[in-house]
Amino acid sequence: MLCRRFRVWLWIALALSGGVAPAADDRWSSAPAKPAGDVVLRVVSVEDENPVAAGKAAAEALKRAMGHSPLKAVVVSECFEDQENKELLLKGITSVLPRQIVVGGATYGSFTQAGCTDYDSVCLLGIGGEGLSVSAALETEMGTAKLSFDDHQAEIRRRLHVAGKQLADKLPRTEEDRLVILIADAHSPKNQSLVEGLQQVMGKTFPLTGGCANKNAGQTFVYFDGKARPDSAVALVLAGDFRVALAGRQANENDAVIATAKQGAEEALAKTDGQPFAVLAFNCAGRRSKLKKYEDELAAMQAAIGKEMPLFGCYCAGEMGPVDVAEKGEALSGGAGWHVMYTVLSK
Amino acid sequence: MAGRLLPLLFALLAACGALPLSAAEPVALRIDSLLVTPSHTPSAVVHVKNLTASVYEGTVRLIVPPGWSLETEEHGVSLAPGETARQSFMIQRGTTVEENSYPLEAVATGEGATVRRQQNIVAAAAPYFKPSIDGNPGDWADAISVSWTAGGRATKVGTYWNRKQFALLIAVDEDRFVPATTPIDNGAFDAVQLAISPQEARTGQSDDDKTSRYEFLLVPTGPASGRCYLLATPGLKCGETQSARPLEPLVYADAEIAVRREKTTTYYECAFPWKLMREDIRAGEGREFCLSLLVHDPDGVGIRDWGEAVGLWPCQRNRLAWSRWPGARWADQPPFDNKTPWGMCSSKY
Repeated sequence: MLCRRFRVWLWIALALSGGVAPAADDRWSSAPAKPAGDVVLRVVSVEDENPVAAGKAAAEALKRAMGHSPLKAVVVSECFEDQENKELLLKGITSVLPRQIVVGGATYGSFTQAGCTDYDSVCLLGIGGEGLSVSAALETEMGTAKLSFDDHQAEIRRRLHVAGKQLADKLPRTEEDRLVILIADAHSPKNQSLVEGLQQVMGKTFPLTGGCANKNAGQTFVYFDGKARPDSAVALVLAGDFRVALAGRQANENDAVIATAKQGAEEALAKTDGQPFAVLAFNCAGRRSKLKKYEDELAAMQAAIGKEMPLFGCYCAGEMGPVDVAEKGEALSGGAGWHVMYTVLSK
Repeated sequence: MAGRLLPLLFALLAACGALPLSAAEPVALRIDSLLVTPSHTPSAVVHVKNLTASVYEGTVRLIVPPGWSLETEEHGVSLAPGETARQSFMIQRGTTVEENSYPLEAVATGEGATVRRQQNIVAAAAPYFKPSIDGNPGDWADAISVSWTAGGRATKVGTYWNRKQFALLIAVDEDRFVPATTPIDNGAFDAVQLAISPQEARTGQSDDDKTSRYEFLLVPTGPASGRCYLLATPGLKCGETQSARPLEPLVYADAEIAVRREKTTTYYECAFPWKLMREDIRAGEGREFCLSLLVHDPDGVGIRDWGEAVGLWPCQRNRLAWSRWPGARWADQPPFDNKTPWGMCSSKY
């Protein structure tokens, strides 16, 4: 009897919160994945100087794009200036979508199949479908935002190892786990230590990708529960009946940025098992700055992945994924700069 | 025909100082400032110029401080007579130091000679920040300052950018403060002249060429006041910048400026709106542009030239790089070119 009442309560709570079961303020899990259910990723992008209008328009567009597939998480990449405007953007998004499932970070802009954006823009990645589940966790007060890498290397390493481990400990694990998406205020080269912390729990070979928040003074926020948080990290675990393939490439000159964008996408596609259905690309804002035309890099990606598959791309202050170095270590992913980190999802 | 023209060409180049008449070393080398701090793994750029009258074939190597590493340590070069090439060395591991000074050495080997040039280079980069232009240097702790010494006196420059403005704090160590309102006997006074140009811009070589810079003059009018003048914008004929135009019509009211004199240091804090420069320079993280400064200290060191501090070659002096103005005094040799690279970055942390 008690069990039945609890289940009824749980389903009411899930319905009110967008299908999320919050375990605590700093973690939640969506409804579990159903075998043979659909897995749907959709991407929308909006530019508008009015952050509330941009957020609302993007959220409505995402809702339409998801169709009947239940939305499990929304990843925000936004480039509005200052906390006040960022909060207005979140207000716009959460006026349409459930606040609890809105996560993400401040970036330097985004790119999708529709083009590249920078200031006053928001890009939303909708993750959903019956065949996928999401668990999310937040780690705050990591204590490294104002520490410079050269003066406090050991302390940064220690604190981010702890933060990464604590973050990973908050995530429930299942056999169906496929990918971790990490969004953090821990820009390159600090991001390597945070990744190492997560890997202490998740293992060195578990697929992990992500990007670091904009590190401009006053902009360094990640988002969890629809709220802006400084000096924090968010991790999502995606689980379900799908597969992922990752690749990373590094460059810092115009021609090399374009060439590596194509090579990395080709490598990730070549590793794909099954039919690819979405691409995530956590890219470096520094790479973008070396481009004569932003669109040249996107065109190179499209030469590899085509122009139809949903593409969620954002320009970050450090990227997580397979680091492009000659001597590969044991770990699949690391944290670095000047990279584009691809993940191709397939079924 | 070509064989007859080449010697003539080299004689002309040598006569105008672009090539030495008898080059002791086959190439000249110099290393640009880094455009983000070393720990953010920038590229170090080495310029190599063939000083000979024949093709130069060789290699260029970059030697970095202990503990640093490069993606590639050596590049091959093939240079036509008089040609300058730019070789990029990506730093894979570097260490940032508070002094912002890094000893690097470029080495060119070829044509039977090894040429070395050691330079202490800086990270010339403006982090994102919105300072208050109020004469108080407290906002500048997160800037990546560059400093240099000329005639035993130090000059320190910090820069910031944000979506609306490019801002600088210039700290000039000098014994005597000479505002424009009380010039010295020859009419000269303290000032800072600075040029901001797009990354790819080149300085004209003749009076009829067009300028490619936004050139400002910061002038103290008292121990706590100053004025900004806009000396040039792109498209002005270079020749027009060489007459000492009256400053009053060139007042640039859209700049914010604060001057402060404290002990032996004069602080110039200023911000220029991007709206003036947006067509030519796009503000953004990782964007590159050119910035140079001349500090005018007429009763002391004279001209303190950023171009000289970063090791430009003697042949890169160019009178057309800087405007003349009443009160400007420089010696027989003109200042160095103003196209020294600068970067916009996100943060020094």
